[in-house]
Amino acid sequence: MIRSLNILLIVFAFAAPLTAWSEPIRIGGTTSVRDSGLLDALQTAFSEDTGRDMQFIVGGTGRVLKLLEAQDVSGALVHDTRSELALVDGGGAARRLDVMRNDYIILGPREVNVPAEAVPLLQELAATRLAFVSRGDNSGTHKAELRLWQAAQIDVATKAARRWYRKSGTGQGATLNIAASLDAFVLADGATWLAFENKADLRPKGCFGDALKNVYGVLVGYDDQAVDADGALFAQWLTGPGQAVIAAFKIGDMAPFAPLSDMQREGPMPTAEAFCSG
Amino acid sequence: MIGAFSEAFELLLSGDPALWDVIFRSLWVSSAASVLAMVTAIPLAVLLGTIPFPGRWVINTVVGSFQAIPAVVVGLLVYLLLTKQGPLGDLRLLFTSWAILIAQFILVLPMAVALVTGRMRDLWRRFGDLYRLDGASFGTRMRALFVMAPGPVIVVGLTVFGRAISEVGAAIIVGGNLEYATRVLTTAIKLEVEQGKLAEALAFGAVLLLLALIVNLSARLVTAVLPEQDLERK
Repeated sequence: MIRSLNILLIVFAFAAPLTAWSEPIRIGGTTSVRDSGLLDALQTAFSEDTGRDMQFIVGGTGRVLKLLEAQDVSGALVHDTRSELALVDGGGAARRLDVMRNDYIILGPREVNVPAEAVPLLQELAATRLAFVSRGDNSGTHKAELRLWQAAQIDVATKAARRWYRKSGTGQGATLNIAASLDAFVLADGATWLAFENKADLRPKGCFGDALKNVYGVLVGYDDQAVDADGALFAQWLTGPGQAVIAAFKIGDMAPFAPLSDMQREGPMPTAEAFCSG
Repeated sequence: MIGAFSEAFELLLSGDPALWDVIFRSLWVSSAASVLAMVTAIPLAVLLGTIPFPGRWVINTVVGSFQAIPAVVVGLLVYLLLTKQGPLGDLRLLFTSWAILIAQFILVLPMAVALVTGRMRDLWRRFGDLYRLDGASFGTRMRALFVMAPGPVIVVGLTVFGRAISEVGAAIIVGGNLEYATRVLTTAIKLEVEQGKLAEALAFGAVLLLLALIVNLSARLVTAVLPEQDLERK
């Protein structure tokens, strides 16, 4: 007993410096940044440029903004401009800057034919009661999806809609898995879709429309009353040297993220055509 | 399924540093949490198992009920404790392995107390009178447990470890699933599923199953080598 305790203490002594007492920069971010692989590229380039390590706490936009407000992370890379600005206005974050675009696509079963425009596509789903799986988790993608239904003037909160409109309440990957096995339609960002490995019979179906625009912003949090220095460093890097890392990031031959420093905010991304034609 | 197991072995043999990092962290965090839980539980169990006092059943019932607490709830409570504005926020432990250790300790403690109390109560019912002849002090009672039933105590420890290493809810909330920092086997599985890498997820699951197998075999071995003692035989 005593002996094994001793061994345990030794293990502790070695493991401890690796875990508790180093102080990397903690950034909250959305699943799309991690699951696409962009995160690895950003982490490597960031520590090369600044000499600091970066840790990424992953969750939906809603959860990440809560972490930022609680000052458990120094900054956030998220994609719901409206709630980002609301947090800054409410005093939960110091500032917000544009970072990049990674537009949404609507995925559906390979053999079903629907319009490639987002709004008519959704109207057809509702009219024919084709199954749709929603994130239903208050994430940026979920909020974008709700705005899409609003643009299509369809109320998905009705009792009748429950027969074809399902809420998974989980992350993007889990929701894609569900849609793939239910032969349902689902909204996802292009980068997560490209990197996703269980595509099964899902294919891009809706790639066009203003409501599919997906803008990422970086937020700087507070450290007690002051602006968080780590968060500010990350935001400065991401909107400066980081933009080249984002532009160079590719999955296959597609560049799913477009840095906002060198592209217009309006119009479709170059990837939209490639998704729905391929 | 079989493919997943062979892939798991290939992954293990390939010496992928990320995989071994995850396995090593799972092992040390969960075994530390289990050992600490046992060290805390044993004195409590000796008290609860050998000293009849009014209202003891209330404590036993509470401990029993807390055995059923879901890992996510423990995770949430520990998160609220460790968040920057929380009571222990200044320790800066959130999103470290220590946070997972604390959560798993709290998660398995009721189980450890309940199971050891059960062993101790049995033991005391059978041999308590003999010990009481010498005016059994607390230390004597502790010693009685280890002399008479070292095997069962170790088996409880292994059971508790099994619960700790297989939970995912607490580790994901207070650890954050950070690569090379707080990623453990269960959160790694969740991540692979999230990315649609179902084969890799199964491979991680096979590693977890393999560990469960080792723990179970060890428990059987311990029971065989260190059976509960009969006083007559001593």
